[in-house]
Amino acid sequence: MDSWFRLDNAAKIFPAVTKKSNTSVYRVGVRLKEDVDPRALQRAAATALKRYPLLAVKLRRGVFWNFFDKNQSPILVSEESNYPCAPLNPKQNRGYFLRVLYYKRQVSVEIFHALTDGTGAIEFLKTLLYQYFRLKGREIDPQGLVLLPGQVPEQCELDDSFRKYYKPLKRIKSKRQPSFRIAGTPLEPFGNNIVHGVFEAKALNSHARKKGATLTEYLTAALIYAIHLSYLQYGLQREPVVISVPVNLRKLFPSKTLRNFFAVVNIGVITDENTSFDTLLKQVSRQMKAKVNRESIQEIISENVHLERNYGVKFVPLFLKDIVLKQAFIFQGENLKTITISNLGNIRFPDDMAKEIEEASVILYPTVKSPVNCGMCTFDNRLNISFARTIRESDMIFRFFKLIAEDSGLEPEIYSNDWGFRG
Amino acid sequence: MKECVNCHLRLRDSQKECPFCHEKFSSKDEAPCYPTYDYKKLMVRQRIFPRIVAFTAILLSAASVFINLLTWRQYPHLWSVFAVGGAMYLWLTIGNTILSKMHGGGKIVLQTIGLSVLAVLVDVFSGFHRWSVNIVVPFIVIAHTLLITIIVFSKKMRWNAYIGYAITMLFLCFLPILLFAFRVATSFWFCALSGLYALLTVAAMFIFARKDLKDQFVSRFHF
Repeated sequence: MDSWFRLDNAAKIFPAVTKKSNTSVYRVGVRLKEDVDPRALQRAAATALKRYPLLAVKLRRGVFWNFFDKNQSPILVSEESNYPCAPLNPKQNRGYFLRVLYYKRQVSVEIFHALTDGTGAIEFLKTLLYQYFRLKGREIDPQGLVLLPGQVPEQCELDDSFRKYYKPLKRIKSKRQPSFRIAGTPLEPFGNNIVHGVFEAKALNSHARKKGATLTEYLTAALIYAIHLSYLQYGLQREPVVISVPVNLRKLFPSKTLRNFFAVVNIGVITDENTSFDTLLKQVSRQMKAKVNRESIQEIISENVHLERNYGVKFVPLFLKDIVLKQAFIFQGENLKTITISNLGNIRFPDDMAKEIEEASVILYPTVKSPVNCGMCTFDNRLNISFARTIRESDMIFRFFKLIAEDSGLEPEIYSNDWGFRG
Repeated sequence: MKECVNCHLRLRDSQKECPFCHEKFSSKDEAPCYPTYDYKKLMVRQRIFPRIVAFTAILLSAASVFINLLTWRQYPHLWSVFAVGGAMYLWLTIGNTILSKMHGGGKIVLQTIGLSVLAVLVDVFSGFHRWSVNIVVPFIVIAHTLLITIIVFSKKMRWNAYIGYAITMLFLCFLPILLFAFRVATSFWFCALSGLYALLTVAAMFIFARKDLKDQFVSRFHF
């Protein structure tokens, strides 16, 4: 196995754009049924990390591109004391770009997005918990759902699948309209306030199906409507509300990679006084079906990889690439979306592990121009929707939960970290 | 589970307040999902001393340029360039080399550049006898390359962290030859010595750490 790794296609942008207000750090976590044993978790993390060579790395600067170098230092598990998705300073973290945290019954893994996407993070969390429960003396039948700590990683897990599925296609330049952007009063002190809402997953899913939509489509439409009610109903802005939806490409393009392998599709709607939730839902479903398919995603992959393969780009020194990437991130990404909604789907743990776990959650970092972001996942019939925000205003989140509650008749269970309001 | 009377939403028992209207509640003993944050402890304290150093350097530079301009008729000489150069070098040494948490290799590279620029500056504004480009710059790059190579070989565990800086220094060793080629420097021997030293260092690294060196070159220059 190589002693260094290239960054995958999606990873290349993160080191250039990361800062305190855009940490590129997301969290996946579980709440156990009993308090966490820090010693066992420390040992489990050290063992689990050996199974994931692409997570045990340091980020280094090359002349033309960044690269990952093996990190030989032992990882340090720590008790959670800061807000979720806080900046990752590798100097204070033994060079690592991931954190394993615990607090009471909660185990969390926070990962810099250049390392892997949500799928890779969930796999690591599973291996970590598998090892943890075994160290706690539990008999665990992995049922083929966990990458076991002792296994040697397969080469296909380390592949950059973007390169595999790259096809040179004729580029179609589409006109992109700036989107409506949420603004508000920054939290004092700066940090991420998290509000979770937990719904009964099966009931909400069947409610969405009754309306002819998938769960993600239903929640995306609800989010657009909540933004419309909170900001646009009586406002002057007429820009489209654009929801960025990361799509797990492993479902469309067969891959076992543990690196980043996702594409972002933008679902945009211009709302007016006649907009209703049901008409929005139809528009969102139609757009989602048109954009989330192999042909459309192939175009996104080809466009992204095309840039990376361009010789005019390859040989530009890294410090110049960083400047261009920062601008591209703002003008081609941030300015074109209102909010990101990322659904990691149903997380399946082996039965022996599932009985020890109460709930799972995912938290997506907010950015400067997108100060509220939304992450969600389902475990054991509990859909946990988490909003992370850096602004005080919470009206849109409140309306979102209320809207779903009134439309579906399902009451969410709300909890928060209260950052910026308590203490 | 409890309900917020204002928002009519169900809250988890561990919640001490409603996240929307901030109505306070008494919380039950259920394990909270998040810690109570100690904001004072979490805030990164801005270090004041590096700022004092930076401001002092700017103050000294501005004052010397100001006095230089005011006394230009009595003493028509650009002496403030030395004062500004000295102040900037002190800023680099105290603010970066001593106080910053930058990697040691990076500090050595910055010191090489800072010292060389200072020497050239003093030389140019005192008649340009070329002692800086002929002797001082080659000597500085050789000395600093030697220092970084010793670190690379003595701290084998931290090889990967230093090797990038060592490669940068090796490139800087060829700078005196370029200066000679463009007739900025006039002493061939000192410039050639710097280049020869770089070549010998590369040869030593290649012989003693061939695999590591190859990996590092490939990773640093991959495209």
